[in-house]
Amino acid sequence: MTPLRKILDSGLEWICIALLAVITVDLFLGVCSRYVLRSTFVWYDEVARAFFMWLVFLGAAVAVRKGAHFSLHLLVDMMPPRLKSAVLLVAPLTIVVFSVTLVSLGWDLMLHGASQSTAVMGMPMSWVYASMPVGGSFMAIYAVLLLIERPGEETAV
Amino acid sequence: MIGVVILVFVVLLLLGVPVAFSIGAAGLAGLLWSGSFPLIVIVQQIHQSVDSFVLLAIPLFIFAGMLMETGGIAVRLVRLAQALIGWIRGGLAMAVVIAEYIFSGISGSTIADVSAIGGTMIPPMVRAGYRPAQAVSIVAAASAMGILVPPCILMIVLGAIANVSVAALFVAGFIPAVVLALAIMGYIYYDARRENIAPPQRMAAADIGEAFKRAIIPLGLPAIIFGGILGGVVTPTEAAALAVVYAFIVGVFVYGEIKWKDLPGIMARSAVVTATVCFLLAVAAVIAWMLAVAQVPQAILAAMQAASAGPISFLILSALLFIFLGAILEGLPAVVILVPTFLPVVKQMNIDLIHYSIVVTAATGIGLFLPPIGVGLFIASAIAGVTIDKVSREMMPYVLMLMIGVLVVIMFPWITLVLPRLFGL
Repeated sequence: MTPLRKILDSGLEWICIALLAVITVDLFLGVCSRYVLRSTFVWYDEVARAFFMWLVFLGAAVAVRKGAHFSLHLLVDMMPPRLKSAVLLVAPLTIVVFSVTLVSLGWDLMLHGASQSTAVMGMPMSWVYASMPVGGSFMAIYAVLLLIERPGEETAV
Repeated sequence: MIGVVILVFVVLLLLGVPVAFSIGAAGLAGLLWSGSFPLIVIVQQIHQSVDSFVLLAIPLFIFAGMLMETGGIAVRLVRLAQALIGWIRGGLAMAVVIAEYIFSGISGSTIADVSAIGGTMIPPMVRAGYRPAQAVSIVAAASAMGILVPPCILMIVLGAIANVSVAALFVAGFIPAVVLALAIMGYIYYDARRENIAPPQRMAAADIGEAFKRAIIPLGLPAIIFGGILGGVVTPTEAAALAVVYAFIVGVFVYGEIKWKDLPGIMARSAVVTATVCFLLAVAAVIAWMLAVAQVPQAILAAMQAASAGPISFLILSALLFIFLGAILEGLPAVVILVPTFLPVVKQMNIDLIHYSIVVTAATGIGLFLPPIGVGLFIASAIAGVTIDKVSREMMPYVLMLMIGVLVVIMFPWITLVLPRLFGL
């Protein structure tokens, strides 16, 4: 379990790092191509937008693991301990419900997208839409892990 | 449908569910309840709202900001601000306001500003005789103002959803930010006189020169961003890419404060912050769409006409609403859901979209620091180790001054519109 978990955690983070690097270099080259080569790469904005979709959905999954999504704790913190530990289950459960929705609807959209392609590069839209079911799956996995590793049993990170 | 959405959203939010997922689940519940729309609109709206060249500026400005934060940039800018204004009574506190103005021109995130400026300035202010809660309030007020100084993530989002030029919004922010800064500094001066805080010593001319020299490299970043945008050479998204390259070269090669092995960590943090912001934005677009199909914008317009409210009262109402929601929801989701809903009213009333966007931005900035629940105020209090109750009392006069500042910006659209018009944006 633990080595597998390590591969999942750091693998996803490295993919996000790579996506951000590609977006940055791609846009920088886009600017350079216009002013240095004097002929704009027509594809650079399509590439950046496709990678951005992936960055958002995979990054949102990493954020689920890190608890980085913004939430309100005001009311929960005021609750008595027993009620609080029950209420703390609501967040991961809601994340599972919405992530599974994202996976199933995103999958449908991806199948629709098989017949569409982007304007310049002719890249199938399903490659872009796939970011939603894939990212949603990782969000659901991390939310389930949050449910299993209940606070208290949690070991130091 | 809308009733179900609001109910589910509020309940989940109060139970500690992250805002993005509360919104998503509420949207899902509303669509299931009404049964008259195919659920696939959820992913269609999400895709449509993220697939935008304008929004690409967000990861890049966040990345550039994180590269610059690790450096001693804040220290250098504070030194420069002290050289400029440090000799007036209350000058140390005013230097915070000016340093924050410049620092916001580098970083795109208000929360990052609080940590950088607060961490640098609160200890010396306390040593100089300011009460800790007072020092926190001054940093918080300055950071609330700083949201108006571009680059600003919220302005990029507004540009994308309201279909306004981000370049125009960036340029429009400069003078309203000055108005708010003056409002804060006016109160600082009054307060310093009343409490008889001694004016700091004048810096020697040589020190002032030195402070300028040391600030040149950090000032290069806003110079590139705004030179490029105003010169019409690059779009804001492209300017953000240039900003990353500049910040990278400065951090790694010039100052040497960033080591190669730090880079993956900085990038991973930038990616996660980007994802939380943009995922929220994407999901909120679903609710905005539902409000539109439920004809809520038309209902609001009718209500405003029935109350025969004019543009000024609509702007004031909007400002109050976004201050309040900004405090509860950290700003962004309220903007993404409500701005498209209010746009028909804005257009009907002939309010300039740039003017409206700037008022919304300023209000959201104040909301982030509104006692007792604004996120930014919590961060600033934590830095100084002061309880939020103590800060809340000291913060109220500053919130009042900021609100007066926003009122001035509302009453005189010229303040916002003069620069964009001058540059033909």
